[in-house]
Amino acid sequence: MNNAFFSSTMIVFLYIAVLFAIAIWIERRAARGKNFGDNAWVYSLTLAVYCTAWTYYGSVGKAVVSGVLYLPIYLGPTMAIILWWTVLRKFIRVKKQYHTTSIADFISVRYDKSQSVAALATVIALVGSLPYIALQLKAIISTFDIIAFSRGGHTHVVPQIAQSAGVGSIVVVCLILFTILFGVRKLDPTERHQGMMGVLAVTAIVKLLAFVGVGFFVVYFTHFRGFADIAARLQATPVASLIGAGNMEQVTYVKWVSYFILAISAIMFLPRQFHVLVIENSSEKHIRTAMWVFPLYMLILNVFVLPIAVGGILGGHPTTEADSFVLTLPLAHGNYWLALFAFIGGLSAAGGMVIINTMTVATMVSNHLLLPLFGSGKLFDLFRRNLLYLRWIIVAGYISLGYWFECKIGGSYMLVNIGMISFAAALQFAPAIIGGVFWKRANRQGALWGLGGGFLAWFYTLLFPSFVKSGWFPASIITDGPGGISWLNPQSLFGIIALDPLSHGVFWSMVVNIGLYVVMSLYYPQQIREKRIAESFTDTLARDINSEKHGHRTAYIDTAQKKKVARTLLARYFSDSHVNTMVDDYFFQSGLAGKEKISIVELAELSAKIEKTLAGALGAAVAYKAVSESELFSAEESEELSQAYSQIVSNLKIAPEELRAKIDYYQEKESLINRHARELETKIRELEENILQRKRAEEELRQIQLGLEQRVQERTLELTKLNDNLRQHIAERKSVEQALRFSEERFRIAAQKASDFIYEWDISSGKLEWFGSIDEKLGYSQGEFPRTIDAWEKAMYPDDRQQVMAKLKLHLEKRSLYQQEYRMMRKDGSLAFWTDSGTALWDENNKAYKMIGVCTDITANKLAEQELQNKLLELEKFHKFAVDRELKMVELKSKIKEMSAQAGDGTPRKAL
Amino acid sequence: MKRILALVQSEAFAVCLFVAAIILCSAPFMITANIMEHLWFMNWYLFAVWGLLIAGIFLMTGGSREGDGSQE
Repeated sequence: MNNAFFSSTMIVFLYIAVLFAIAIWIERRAARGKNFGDNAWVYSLTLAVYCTAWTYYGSVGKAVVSGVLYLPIYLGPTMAIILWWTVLRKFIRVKKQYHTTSIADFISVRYDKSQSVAALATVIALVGSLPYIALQLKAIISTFDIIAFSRGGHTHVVPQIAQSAGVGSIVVVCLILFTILFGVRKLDPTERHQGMMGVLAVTAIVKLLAFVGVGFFVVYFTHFRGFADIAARLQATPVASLIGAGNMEQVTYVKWVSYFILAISAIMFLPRQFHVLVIENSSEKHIRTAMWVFPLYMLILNVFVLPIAVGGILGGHPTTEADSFVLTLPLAHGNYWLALFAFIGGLSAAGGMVIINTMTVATMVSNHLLLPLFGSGKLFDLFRRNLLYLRWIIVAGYISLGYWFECKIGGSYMLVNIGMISFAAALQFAPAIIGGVFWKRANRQGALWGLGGGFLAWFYTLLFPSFVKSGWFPASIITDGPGGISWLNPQSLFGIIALDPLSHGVFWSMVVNIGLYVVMSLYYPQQIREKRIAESFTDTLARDINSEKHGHRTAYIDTAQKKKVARTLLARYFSDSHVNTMVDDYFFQSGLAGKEKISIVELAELSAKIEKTLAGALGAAVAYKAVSESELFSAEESEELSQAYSQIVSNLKIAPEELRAKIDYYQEKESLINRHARELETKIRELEENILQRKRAEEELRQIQLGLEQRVQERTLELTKLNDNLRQHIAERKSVEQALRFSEERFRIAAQKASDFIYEWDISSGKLEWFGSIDEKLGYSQGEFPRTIDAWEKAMYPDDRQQVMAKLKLHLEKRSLYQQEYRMMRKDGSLAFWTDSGTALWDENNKAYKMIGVCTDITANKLAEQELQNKLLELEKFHKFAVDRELKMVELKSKIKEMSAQAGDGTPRKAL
Repeated sequence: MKRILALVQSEAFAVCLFVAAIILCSAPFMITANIMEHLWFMNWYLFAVWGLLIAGIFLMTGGSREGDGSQE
């Protein structure tokens, strides 16, 4: 271990951390609706996943041993790209229509959604790419050895230290984590891997800068002084003489063409390329930018390939290490940091490929191999419901298997040559895909036979010989043929010896593949459904036709029942809460929400939506099988749907070319409108969501406020009423109390101070209540006088009793006036004079039940009256006496006067 | 100008470009039997062809120009 090991390790981890951060940042932006991946430049750069470690390091190696033969690997794709607007656009439209998730899914959809076709395509992709994964891991680990343990110019010996230091395991774990986090983190049918695509774009720039940086360094900062200097030196010392004739690979035209063919197909049909090209594409318009940006990228990347190769050879580096010239040249000239940067570029190239390829293969294996294997039995419910975790396991297993492969056979012939062999495997998809989108007659049988035959031919003529050359089988197989049968020689099958092994393999696999594909397609008839799919692939626009004739079909199918079936079907793969939302969305999007009955065409649309969603998660073949096996369509409904389709097609009455032109026009228009609509829809949805949330909150607040206000009002009203009542009651009570108090006071004062007694006689009980000091008046002690009518009657002076009782009886019976004066006997036997005035109360039967009255003690008056009488009598007596005396005086005076007159002088005496 | 543009952006032009690419990339083998003897020259010749193809594609697609993208 040295400083270089630690610094390179730290920088590698730092780089991986930066990539993680970028991916997370992009994913978060995408979650907020800021679509980073929806960019033509990002799309173009992601296509650079084509340039793996095999091309990054291997191009220089290839240039050393084969000269310009490294160029078809990049020139071929440029040629293919010329036709992308016609070809790739079709793929993308089909992908959008059928929601395909991988190349295997794409092929299976075209061929009657056949699970067999999908499974076969998956096997080809798996077998073809696993050694390629091993190659990438080998590149990462071996170049790490160079960069970490060869500092100081000792570049010619490449020790396998990193392998033993566990670097490989760490790399594998990082790749697994990255793939799971950003490739298969979710099981979302609408998912696009924004984070991963962003990272791919960044790694594309890094590897371009790194490679170009090394190129500049070699051309201008080593032994050379520019391109002209290299050219001059090369002219003086041709490469061929430097390498030695024995090491040179003969470049024939056939090989040249084979390389072109393989590269043309690889750029589109390698599973990872198909994924970034078709599956991750968000807009057809991005193709147009990618069509010139990506070839330009490859051109810039390759400008320095030959100069680096020549620089390495002229610098005396062994040609056997030509694959690592990109690292060893800067190291040899003491530029460790540039070499480290070049290593980071190589890591980007290898890592990007591993991640994308693994993600694609994991999707294919889970959807097209495992899910069909699990079938619909309840036994595998656990797997179906945990499809996501299953994919994670596949990712981990696949990368680990690649690593195991690398450890076991890392140095074998097979692994070194697997690049072109993998390309040849991808070529097997070409007839089925190209034929599928251009040839209506192509059918499932043709695809199955073609793919199967081509794969076997590829295996026998290309992969198997590499096993033999790796020493796993006897070498005589490729010298004399298996069992000595020369015409079965895998490298000269049927005696064809003019072709190099690669061209030979390509030739035979294509002959078998295309031959069987065409013959079987012509031999076997197409099913009606398959014909329909074929038309939609070749025309790509027929899908909108169905929607025209809705009105002509009667709505008679029970919506509730179909909804139930849809829920049951989706619940096999998604969580219950998710299922309910999905089903409601389908009905809402199809305008079926609230309808009790739907037509057969509407049911077909609903079925298509469900299948499309399932296809996004499980692949088209499994989705189709699941929908077919469900009870979504009864036999009668299937029959009617078939009739409806026939009617729609016949109703069109339009020439196919004219129809295609019209549909093209409208589809382009629709595409534009849809895009704008989607953008607007996203914004509107966000706004609506905000408004809805705000409204909900406001409504809740309003409801709460209303409730509170109502409660307050009710409560206030109640309280007001209660208050009023209480106030009134209090007022009344106060008034009554006051009145009563005044009355009582007055009554008490009157009763106590006056000589009146108020009485209340309860006639039925005979109780007689007295108000006033009755006891005192009658000479009893307090409360002694009995309160009964009998006691009153008994206390009455006997002479008056009869008369009073008679008057009382008369009052009670005849309601005559009752007003009496009588005498009461005091306790000491003295008499008291009372006046009594009262009135009775009568019930409805005219019976008196109560009597209230007042008695007044008039004893004092009576006594005063009696005394007055006595005084009057005395006065009368006195008066009479006085009068008598006066009369006597008058008589006396008269007598005196007579006597005086008789006596004399006639003068009366004054004294008298 | 519009006619030229329409021609360049047609499917026919794409096919012509494709055929031209095949011919131009095959040319080295028509000129010499041993391509390795002229490695440096062949390399840059092919780069020139490559550059031309990219230029052709650029014209064909109209670069990154926004539009309906049709090639009719």
